[in-house]
This record gives sequence, structure tokens and C-alpha cells, in this order.
Amino acid sequence: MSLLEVDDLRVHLFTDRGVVKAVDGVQFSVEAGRSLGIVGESGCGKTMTALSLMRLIPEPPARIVSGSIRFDGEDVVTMSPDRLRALRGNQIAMIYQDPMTSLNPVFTVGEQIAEAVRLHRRDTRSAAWTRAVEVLHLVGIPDPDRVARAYPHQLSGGMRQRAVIGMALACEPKLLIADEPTTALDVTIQAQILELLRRLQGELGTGIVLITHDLGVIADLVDDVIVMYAGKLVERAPVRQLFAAPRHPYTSGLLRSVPSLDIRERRLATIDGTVPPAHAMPNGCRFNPRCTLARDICHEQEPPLVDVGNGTMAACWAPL
Amino acid sequence: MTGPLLSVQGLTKHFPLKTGQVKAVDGVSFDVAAGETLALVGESGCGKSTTGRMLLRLTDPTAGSIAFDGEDFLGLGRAALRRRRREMQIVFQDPYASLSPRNRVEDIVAEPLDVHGLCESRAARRERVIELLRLVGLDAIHLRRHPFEFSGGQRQRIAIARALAPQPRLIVADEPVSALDVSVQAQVVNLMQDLQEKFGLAYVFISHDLAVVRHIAHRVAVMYLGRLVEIGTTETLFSAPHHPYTQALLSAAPVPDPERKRTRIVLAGDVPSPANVPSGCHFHPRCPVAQAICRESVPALRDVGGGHRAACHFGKPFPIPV
Repeated sequence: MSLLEVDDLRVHLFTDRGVVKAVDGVQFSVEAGRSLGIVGESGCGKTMTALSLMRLIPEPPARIVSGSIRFDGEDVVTMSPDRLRALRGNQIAMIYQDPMTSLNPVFTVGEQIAEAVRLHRRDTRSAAWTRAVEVLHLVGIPDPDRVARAYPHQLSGGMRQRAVIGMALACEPKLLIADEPTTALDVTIQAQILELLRRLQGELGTGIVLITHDLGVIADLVDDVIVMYAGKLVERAPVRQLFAAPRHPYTSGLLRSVPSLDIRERRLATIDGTVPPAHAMPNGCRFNPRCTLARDICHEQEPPLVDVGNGTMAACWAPL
Repeated sequence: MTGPLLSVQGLTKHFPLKTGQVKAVDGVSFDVAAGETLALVGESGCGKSTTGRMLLRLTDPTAGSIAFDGEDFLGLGRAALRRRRREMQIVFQDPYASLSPRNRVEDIVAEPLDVHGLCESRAARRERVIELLRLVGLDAIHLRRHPFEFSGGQRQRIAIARALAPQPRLIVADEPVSALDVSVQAQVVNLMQDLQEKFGLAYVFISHDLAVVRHIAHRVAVMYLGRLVEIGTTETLFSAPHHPYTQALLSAAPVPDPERKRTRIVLAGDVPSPANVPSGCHFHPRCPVAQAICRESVPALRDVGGGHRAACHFGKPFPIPV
């Protein structure tokens, strides 16, 4: 049994302008101690997917209309609020893009971490505080005693993100969901945080779901990747396979449009057009208006996600 | 051979605090030739945006000089400044914030034309705006629309059309593609290169994204805590970076290739606050090769061969472990 098994997840937004299928039939699994990357551009549904895993989607307008999210065998979709509360922050933890908004400005960093520990472990105040200092040390913060007594504004962006990761790990979760954890950080600090996540995954055996638009971060950290486009899962593959031989034309276009640090092409490859608006999705394959290989069937029928060999699944009528 | 289009000497901006000051930019010098792209790279707070703003006098420098086409730009009076500014435009990072939401595309793009009185009639104005929209891949049907009707990439095209309107010779582009998705980012980068070829534009391209810079820039200037630490052609800077900070920056950039497990130079610690900069070389507390001299004296920007300059006491390419 996998640590996390998501099957046919559909999250729809019920708005005044109609139903938006933000996540439309996504399936994946994460094993303990492994990492999965979810990659895609703005509006592809990657953050909605991540929020659904802990049932944190804004309800209304959003609602999980079908599918299951099995964590350790239990379905999160049908879970009682009490059970959910016991799980969140304890067995499943989440870190967000902007560390400033996930920290409360009027409490010290140590108090905030200790609160999470006390909530789930019923430790004494002093034991929880000790644990807080311990996790700050774990995430590589120099002088953790002092930082535990500091307020968030007294720390730099990189330190704050470390503190947030520390808080997420304080209860030793089995699964860590990280939504663009390094996007707001400078590249030298990003390198530190990626190094940290890799080390913690190895040391603690935490499963990681990493959501990002940055293919470089994906290549660096994760074992398996799913690519999303306009609410659909278009490709799923082991990371090396995905970068070496992408099968979906969207994945291939995405990879080619990233400028390289080594080679200087005369022109960058692009994907013409833009992502269709959420309330006006094209018929058939949602990528067909931008796809150079689209045929008749692509305009008429949605391609199913099928095994295309080498551990890769792709939703395309004519995979590359 | 004429002189450079833009020549910056000892450009400095200090912002006063209650106690002390923030040395946002501290004695930066560089040239930009006509038709050339110079990239300014560095991390948050290194002073690259402040430098970009000073080039147009959107922020007044504390010290230093800027010559545009050989003329002292900082000494210009109001009327002369306005005339000069016709030749220099700016494109900002966030196309959601830089376009007035209440105006229609036609008026947004025509604004520089109106400011500089470049159109004689409404018909001529409209014709010119349509021409500009076509240049950036938009069309006459977009004239009457408002910014909210466009995607981020299209908005950035509108901002570029506006910048092109007065036929500038220099465009300062401050993180112009950083807010865009990667497939759209490539479209805008290609557009900027096409326009440069067509009009012989010079760009000062401010960015933290080294891969984009590698693609678009002819020369690159690396900044750290208000100072220029290295400047050279894109080829030499990327293949033989001399300054340890440049090397760390290059090695830290995530590369979309899982096969390449590189040895990263992971720098310890954070960028110090610009209000409280280290002595000597600003980089010394994080530098893996720092010696006693680095704490004491500021390294000069020295030529390390072929016009490539680096501000390090140990001016040689340190081998990056790959």
C-alpha cells in the first residue's frame, strides 16, 4: 500500500460564470520516503490538487466532486472533521510559497512551533519548547536558542522558510506537501533549502509532494513527476524518463521553452497561444488549440491517461 | 567608431536611515553600446533595480555620473530631461501593476506619444498604435480593450509596445519575464530579441534568472550588495567566472536536467543587510576562499583579460568543481 494514493480526483469550482473544472481526473501515488513533483503553469490546477490532499480547498466555491485520496489507507475525502484535524500538521504537513504569511507576526518562532507540538503530542510546555529548538537545529538554523525567541520579522526570508519547514517537521509527518517552497527565495538561498529538503527526506523518510512551476527544481529534487495542463494530468513519469523522453507534446514544449545555462540557442522554442480561460475549455484534448500535432480526434474526444511504456503514462492520442 | 550609448561612472545611491544609511548602490560603473544587451544580475537587495531606475532618473543618484550619447544626463534641466527621456524607456516586472486598469490599450500605448507630442492627428495616433500593437504580436481588435481582458504575457506585450512608442534607443527592462509562465516567457524573450534586431535597441536587462540572461544578454554585470563584482561578455562570464560569488550563483541555479548531478557551491548564510554591510569585500563573510586581506580592503574591479573585469583580490578563475 502506498503512503498516499489519489484516484480520479475532481475538484470543481461553482462560480457565477459556471462550473470550472479546476482539477479534472487526477491520479497518482506517493510511497513513503519518495518524492513526487507536480509541475505546470499558472491555473493548471496544481495548487488546488495540493490543497485537496489536506481538504484545505476554499469551500465554497470549490468542492471535491469525485475521487478518493487515500492516506495510509484512510480516505481523506470522506474523513470526519475531528480526524482531519488530528491528521493535519501531524501526519501530513504543508509548507507554502511565502514564509511570512505562514508565520504569525505577533508570536515568536519558537512559540509557534511549540504550539503545533503541544496540539498533537500533548507535551508539557518545556518539552514542546525543547522540541522547537531541536527542529530549528535540524533545519540548519545557526544559534537555534536565539532564533526560537525571535519574531518572524527579525529573520531573513531564507531563515523564515527554514523555520516554517521546521514547524512542518516538528511532529515528524509521514507526508510533507510543499507548494512552491523556494519560489520567493533567491537562488543561493533556494540551493540551501533544496539541499535541506533532500537531506531531511533521506534522514526522516518523509514522503514529499512538491508543487512548482520550476523545472529546474523538479529535476533537482523529485523521483517522479506529474505534469498538469488546464486541470488535467497530461503525463506521469519517473523524473529521468520525463526529461529524457517526454511523451506528451505539452511536456515536450514546456521542456524546450526553458532557456539553457549551457547552450545558447538563437531562438527559444515556444508554445504558441495561451492557456484557455477556465470557463471556456476547448472540446477534446484541452491542449489541442496549442498543439502542432493535433489531429481530428484531438478536437473531438478527450484522450485517456494510458501506459505508453518505460513507466510513463500520457494522456495523448498521438504520444511522441 | 563612436562612444558608448550609455556610460555610467561611480553611480551611487545612499538612502538615509535614522542612524546610518543604506548603501543601495555603491560606486557602479559600466557602459552600454548601441544595440547591445547588458544584463544586471544579482539577488534581492543587490541594487540592480535601483541602478535601473537611476539610469532614467526615476531615482536620483547620490553621486556619480551618467552620460547618454556623450551628454551629461544628470545635469539636464526639466525640458532637456524630458526630451532625452524619449530615447529611454522602461518595462517593469509586473504587467498587472504597470498598466492603468481604467485605460484602454489605445491610450496606454499612446501615452508616450501624447507626452512627447509625437502625433499630429487622432488618425495618425491610432495608426501608430496599431502599428506598435502589430510589432508586439497584437492587433487592431485589441485597441478598445482594457488590461484585465489580457493574459500576463499579452499585458507584457502591451507594456513593450508602449515602451517602443517614442522610438527609444535604450530600454531598461526590470525583470520583464519573471512573472510569466515559462512557455509565455519564451515568447516575450524572442519578441525582445526580434525588436532589438529590427530597431537596434539597447537593453539594460535586469534579472535574477541566469538562464534567461545567458540567452538574451551580450554582456553581464553581476552585483552583490550594491557593488559590481564582475562584468564581462556572456560567453566568458558563464564559461570562466572569476568572482567566487558569480561561481556560487551559477552553480546554485537549478538546471532542468536530472542526469546532471552537479557539485553545488552552497553558500553558507544569508546576504547581509545593505544597512550594515561587511568591511572590505562585501562578500567575504560568505566567501569560501576569503583571506585576511578580504576583511580589510575593498578589491578593485580589475581587468582579468579581454575586458572581463572582476572585483576579487584573487583575480583568477577558481575551478568550479563540476
